[in-house]
Amino acid sequence: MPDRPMRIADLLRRLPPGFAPRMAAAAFAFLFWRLAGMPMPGTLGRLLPLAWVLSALIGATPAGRFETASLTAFATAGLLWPMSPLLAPAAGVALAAGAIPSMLGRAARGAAGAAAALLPVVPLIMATVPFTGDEPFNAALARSLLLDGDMDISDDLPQVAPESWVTPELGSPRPGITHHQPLFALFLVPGLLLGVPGYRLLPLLFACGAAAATARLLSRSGRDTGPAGWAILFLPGLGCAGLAYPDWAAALLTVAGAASLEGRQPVRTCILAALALAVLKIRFAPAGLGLVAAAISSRGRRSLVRAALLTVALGILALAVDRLLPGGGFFWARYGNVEFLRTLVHGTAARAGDILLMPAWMLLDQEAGLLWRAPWLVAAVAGLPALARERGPSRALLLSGILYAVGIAVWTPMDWHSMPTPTGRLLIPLLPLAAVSASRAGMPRPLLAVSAVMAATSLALPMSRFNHLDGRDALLDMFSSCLPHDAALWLPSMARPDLLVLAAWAGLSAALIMLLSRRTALPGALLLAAAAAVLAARAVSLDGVYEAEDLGPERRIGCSLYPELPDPNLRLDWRRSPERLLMLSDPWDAVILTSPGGGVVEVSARLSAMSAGAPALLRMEYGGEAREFAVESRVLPVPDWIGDVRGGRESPRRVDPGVLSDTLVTAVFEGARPGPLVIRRGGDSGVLFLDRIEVSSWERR
Amino acid sequence: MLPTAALLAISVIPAGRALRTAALLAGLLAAQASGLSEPWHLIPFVPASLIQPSGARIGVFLAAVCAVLMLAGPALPCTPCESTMQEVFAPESVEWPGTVHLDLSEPVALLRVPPGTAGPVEIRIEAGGCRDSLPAGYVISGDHVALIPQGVTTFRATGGGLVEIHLSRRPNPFEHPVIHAGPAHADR
Repeated sequence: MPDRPMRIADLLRRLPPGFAPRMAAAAFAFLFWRLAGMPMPGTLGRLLPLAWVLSALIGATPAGRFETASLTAFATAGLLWPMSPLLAPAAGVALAAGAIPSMLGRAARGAAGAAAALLPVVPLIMATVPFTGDEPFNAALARSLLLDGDMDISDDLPQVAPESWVTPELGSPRPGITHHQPLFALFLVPGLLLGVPGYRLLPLLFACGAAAATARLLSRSGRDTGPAGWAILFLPGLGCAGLAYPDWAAALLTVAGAASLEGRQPVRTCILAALALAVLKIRFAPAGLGLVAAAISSRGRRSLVRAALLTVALGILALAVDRLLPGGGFFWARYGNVEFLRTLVHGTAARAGDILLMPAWMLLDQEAGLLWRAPWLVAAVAGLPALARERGPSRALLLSGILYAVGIAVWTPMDWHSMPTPTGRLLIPLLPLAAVSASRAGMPRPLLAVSAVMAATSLALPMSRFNHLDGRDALLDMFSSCLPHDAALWLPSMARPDLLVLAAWAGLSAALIMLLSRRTALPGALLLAAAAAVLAARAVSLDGVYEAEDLGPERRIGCSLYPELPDPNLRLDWRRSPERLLMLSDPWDAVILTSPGGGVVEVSARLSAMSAGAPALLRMEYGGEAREFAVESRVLPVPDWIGDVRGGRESPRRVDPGVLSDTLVTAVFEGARPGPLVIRRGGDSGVLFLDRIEVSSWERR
Repeated sequence: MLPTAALLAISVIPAGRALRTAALLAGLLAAQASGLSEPWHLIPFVPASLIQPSGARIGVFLAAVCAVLMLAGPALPCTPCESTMQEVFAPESVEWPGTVHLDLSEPVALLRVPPGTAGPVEIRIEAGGCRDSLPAGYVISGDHVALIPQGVTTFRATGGGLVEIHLSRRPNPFEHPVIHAGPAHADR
């Protein structure tokens, strides 16, 4: 009995730093959610406080100002939440953000800490992130391999995702082959017993393993291991951590291969890692090649040349054997196997513009841009020059990263963004490099804070991580009723490119980075002012501009979206822009806009039409007057480079609006009495596909 | 309302009293402008912004927020926010394929019935989140009003024009009233 007080005191001393305040905050959040009657008490109302409990258990640092600020923001938004549909989600985001500093603190405590850092949000990931994108395909392949002994997933996909389907055109080159390679699917076997959490179990361990291996690499070079936590706890890494995708496994193999340069047999280990990367997914092969090149270059120049020749010869042999024996079924690519080289040759030249603009969209696009989702990557870019001067594992990561990035740019210039799967998924194998590079540069606290808030957004609003290349970010979609109708047009979008908006945001971003660096404050402030002025002017000029597919139910009656499903793969081969269209096919379908007033009202509509017989008619009505226009569209030709690749073979496909030319129709109403502007289909035949509407008005002198 | 909440939160967070006071004044003005009519919900911010030690300030604020929630409930907007269900015209029918989620922040949904629709509109409505078995809301269709019981119900709205679905519950601690309306269907 006498030593009991001592035991309690010992126990209290052994508690993690910040344990008591974080546990108290978790209890407060749990109770507050219920007192305020906030939505989703059974999921977010439990899982977010649970994240705080787990963050208290793994805490390595005392609770600080960021946690206090998060809790205050949560309580404020929660107190006022019925006032706006934005506030309850904001409260959730604030609460999720508060759990992140403890996780970052744990990640800074070595490899084991980095591996455990994700723990507090694992229940959130497992329970709230929809099982969608390529996850059901990978799961179906696991099922097919184990239960059927084949790779034909058409009879397995409905078992794991009843709403999914597969067609030879989209999913498989021919029956029995899927473009998902089999190795990764074997790691999803626990899912056959445990369901969705089982499919995600091993990918979760791969992500934690990659973070641990990166932390070990950092600690061996005498650096703080915190950046390994940034890789897994911030976007884009967090967006896929624990999901059934092979990208974190590739990151683990990459960092393991790079670390072997400090081991006994680096060349052999790197070749093994490279082979594993290629078998995991052919997309990762360039990353493996970089590892092998780095391992050999560490031995001298002569062996580098010899190894390069050997690698090329082995690659040619592997492709030839694969083409001749299983018919290109192993290293499968879109046009067979060896034939894909023709795609590279012709496609790269033809899509040079897309490739050149890719870095700008990768940074600034509202749906896929990393600059505002993951500003911590600015530090990673800043650290690259220092990294380039190093040897050993750092050089291996750098070479591997460069080759992988070039591979992505050349091989997937149109779908590097990985939509509709979480944004930046294809860049995850580069995250160990980003973490190591960021450790060589200073990280401004505001960038860290914004990165944490964006990561929290993807946790509290799991649907926000899924975009569909439709020109409007998922967050704007979710809250469109509370935002101006043209809010998406003020932000850069590769689906609806506006170079002035892109330039303004590039200027704003550069100015903010210059201001944060503090060495270039005056030029930064001047650039900020100029870019803000350009953006404001552009926003004013966009008044009266409506992207038809963004119109909400308050501005349209009927009018389905085309295609009905948002999957961007359905628009991958559209010869016009990939944005969705608003379909006017029924006599009752109508767009109703408010008139700007004025003596003269001019309405322009960009659209295409499909009709079997007589041309489709577009009817515009305003102030008791009506105008009708016959609209005809022609089928756009197949791009030359695709014809070259196909060798003149034209694959039959149905004509859809994505391959039709646009028509611009303009109506002027003069002296009509003010009223609503109605756009509908005239006549009773044909289908119209509206893209964009511009309404302007002026007084006649 | 989001900027208002941000200003009010800033009035509690930073260390400098001057910045907190400025944020509080701006937040109070913004709250007045954004339609926060009841003053009770602003009370926790006033003492919290004036107290200097950080721990005491946050403690007082969180306690005051809980007290206000228990006494007055969360703030309610003067004008309820409405959402409109999007219809789609098929050759033989009108469909409303989506689901609208009604809660205290968006308690009204509107469903437009096109003129000349032949059959009644069948709407699937799911209601819950309360700790009693009283109705969660009501549906107005023409001259008819029907109560929405908790659980899953299919309503047949026969009046044309506009069908309104209302969540009628007031906020109560430990209750999370919600109505999921849709999908809906009508023959043409």
